[in-house]
Amino acid sequence: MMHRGFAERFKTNRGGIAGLVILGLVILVAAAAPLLFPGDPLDIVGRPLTEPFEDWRFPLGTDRLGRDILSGLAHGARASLFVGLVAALGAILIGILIGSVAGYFGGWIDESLMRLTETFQTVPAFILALALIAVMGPGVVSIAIAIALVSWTGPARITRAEFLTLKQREFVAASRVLGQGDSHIIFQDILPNALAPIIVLGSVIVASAILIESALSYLGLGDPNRATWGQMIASGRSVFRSAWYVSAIPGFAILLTVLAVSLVGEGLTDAANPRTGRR
Amino acid sequence: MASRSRVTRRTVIKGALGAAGSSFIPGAAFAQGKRGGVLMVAADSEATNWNGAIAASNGVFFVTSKVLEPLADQISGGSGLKPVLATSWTPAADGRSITFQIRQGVKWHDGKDFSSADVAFSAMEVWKKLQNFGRVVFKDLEAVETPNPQTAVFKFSKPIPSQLILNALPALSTVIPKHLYEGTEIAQNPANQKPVGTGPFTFAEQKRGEFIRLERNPNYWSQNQPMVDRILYRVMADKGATAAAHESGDLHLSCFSAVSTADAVRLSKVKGLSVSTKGYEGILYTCTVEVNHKRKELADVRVRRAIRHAIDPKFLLDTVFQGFGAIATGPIPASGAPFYTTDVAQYPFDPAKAEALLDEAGYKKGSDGNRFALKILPAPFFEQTRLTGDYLRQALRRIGIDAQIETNDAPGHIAKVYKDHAYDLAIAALVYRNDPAISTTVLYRSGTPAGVPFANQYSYVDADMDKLIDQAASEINADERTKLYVAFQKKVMTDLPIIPLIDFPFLSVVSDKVVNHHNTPRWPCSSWADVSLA
Repeated sequence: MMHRGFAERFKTNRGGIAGLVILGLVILVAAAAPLLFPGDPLDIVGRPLTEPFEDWRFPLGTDRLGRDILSGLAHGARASLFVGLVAALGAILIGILIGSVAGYFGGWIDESLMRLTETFQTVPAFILALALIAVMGPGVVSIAIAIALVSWTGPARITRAEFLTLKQREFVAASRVLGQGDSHIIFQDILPNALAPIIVLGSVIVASAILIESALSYLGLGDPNRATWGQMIASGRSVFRSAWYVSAIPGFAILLTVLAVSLVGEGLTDAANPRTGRR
Repeated sequence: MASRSRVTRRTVIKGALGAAGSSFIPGAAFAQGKRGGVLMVAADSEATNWNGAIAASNGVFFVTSKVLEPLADQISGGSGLKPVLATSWTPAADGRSITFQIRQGVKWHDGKDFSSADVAFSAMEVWKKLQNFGRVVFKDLEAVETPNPQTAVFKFSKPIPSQLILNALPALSTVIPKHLYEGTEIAQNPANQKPVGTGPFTFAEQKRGEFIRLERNPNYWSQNQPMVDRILYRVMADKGATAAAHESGDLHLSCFSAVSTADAVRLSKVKGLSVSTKGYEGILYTCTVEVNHKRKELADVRVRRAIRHAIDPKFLLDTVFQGFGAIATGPIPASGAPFYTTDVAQYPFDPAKAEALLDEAGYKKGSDGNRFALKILPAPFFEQTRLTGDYLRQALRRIGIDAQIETNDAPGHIAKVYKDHAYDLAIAALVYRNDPAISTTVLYRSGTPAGVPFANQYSYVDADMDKLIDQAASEINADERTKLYVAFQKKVMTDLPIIPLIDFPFLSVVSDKVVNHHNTPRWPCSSWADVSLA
């Protein structure tokens, strides 16, 4: 597509730029966490329930066991982003594979793959993720896999829809006349043209993956050996009335990150559809 | 004390009656309790079987101890026992029998007469055959003779310490009606869902997930009791909601730490509410590190001692337990008179010593700073065990043990630790029940088949320990028996097969409107016949 025009259009979207800046900061903090806060973020370093700004060794205070909240926040960003990106990537890969095959070949292949997709769509995503974690055991990698397995249906549907229209176009017919095989047509010819809406959807999946990971951790199904934002919120739940900041600070971090990802996603949507994007 | 006071209907209880309650909340001891009213209680879970004679567990007793009664209940001081359905007991000198005098004029809630036949039936058919702890304590019970309706003679096939039987009465001697259970499949009997008893309250109605309603038994054998008309248990699964209900005045009482310890600290400052750990002296938990001796590192006593030296129990007590509890000195809590002793090996917090012990055992630090890795499984039932797991992970990492937490749901945890032995360390809350032979020595005696929870699933086998436990279990002389249990505690703390850390009671939150509460050592599991509302 017109890549130059796409970037130009994105630049004019203030929300998208703001989202990109915040997301960039979160990524920076996540990347620098081991340098800024060396050592285990779960380590007990100070007096339990130190309030924010009370002791400058722990600017954001400590939790019930005396763990540094700021350090947990930085290290937690790594877990959240890792889960978000890996889950979205996994979901898109599965979705593209199933959606493109279904859309391109049609017929009974399409029928059976779409029934499979509907089966996944009818089960509530979060409940399915819970069940998968219960089977695989809690851990950052298994959480990412579980979220990917419950979020691929959206990309699959969109890919299929794109393929259904694109496969009628002349360039596909031309490719076929040239004697190209199915896999070449799917991945070299049609897919690059179908990618834009899928990538936009990917940003939505990143945001929802971060939320699902937090919710799982909150229910005690997160990775117990890693600081994650959801787990920090959960650990503060029992002291919420007396030390609200233990839960509120990581909660704010989740809000900010999900908001940033959503803004970027919206910017991408608007840029990809110039007619609806320009107001 | 209170139960013996004569109070006529509609008259008020005098302040003196609150003698036991007075140490709980000074002001309320002089509040005036009237007849009548509805006691609102929070229940955090519902049992599937309310037959307390089969399931001798605190969660069941919390409700059914008001409906079904034991032969005797626990009180502090004196013999430690208060007569309930038995009025007296006389052990034979040879240890082969105990004669109980059974209370007269008691009727079941359905109007039938209660007699020694009910006691004999409960003992032989239920406690001995079906009950979780009774199967051990009453295993040598041969027969219960009933020469008349007021006498039941327990006959044993070999001499049995009467001390053990008497200590077991409060929790293990719930009597159920023979006329409803005889000739039926006891475990499946419909009366298990709607128990019929002799207690001060009748089991009126249960709506799963909503409430359990108990109504005053007008024909209760203790005159002018119970004081309140109704007890309503509201099923509340969420600790935060329970705390909020206390603040809004919707609840009079919650027991068994139905609010989080952090909330309890906050509620203790709210006017009109009190928070206490009293009334749990007879049902203390010990937060304990369970150790899998199949791991060769952990089979070495030096490694187990190193782990104990790496833990700062004072820190645990102050943070995880918010000060509610005491540092455990051994397998029996300080309230476990007459057996308790402090004359045991001590392990002060000393990470340097812990590291030295590990070095000595041959587990030097590798290039990554770690000696070996361990998997910790904290029991998911309690906030305290989960947080202790988090703490232990960090404490062990500091001495070069790469510890990782593995979390499981309740059935998964029980299966992994007590059946499959798929753990290295586990954090448990183990209960001491008034006598070491009831549920404590089973943690150290070898030979328990895999799958029995809260028993020695640690692969710890020690011939001397087994001998000591067996001797104590059949010693008739109470003083000699106590001496054997002192030796047992010493050996536990020297060998450290598992590591006791903190003895912790549950917490109760109670409104100042409630009179006469938390006045016995296992109060939440007592009859509440004397409880009233001001």
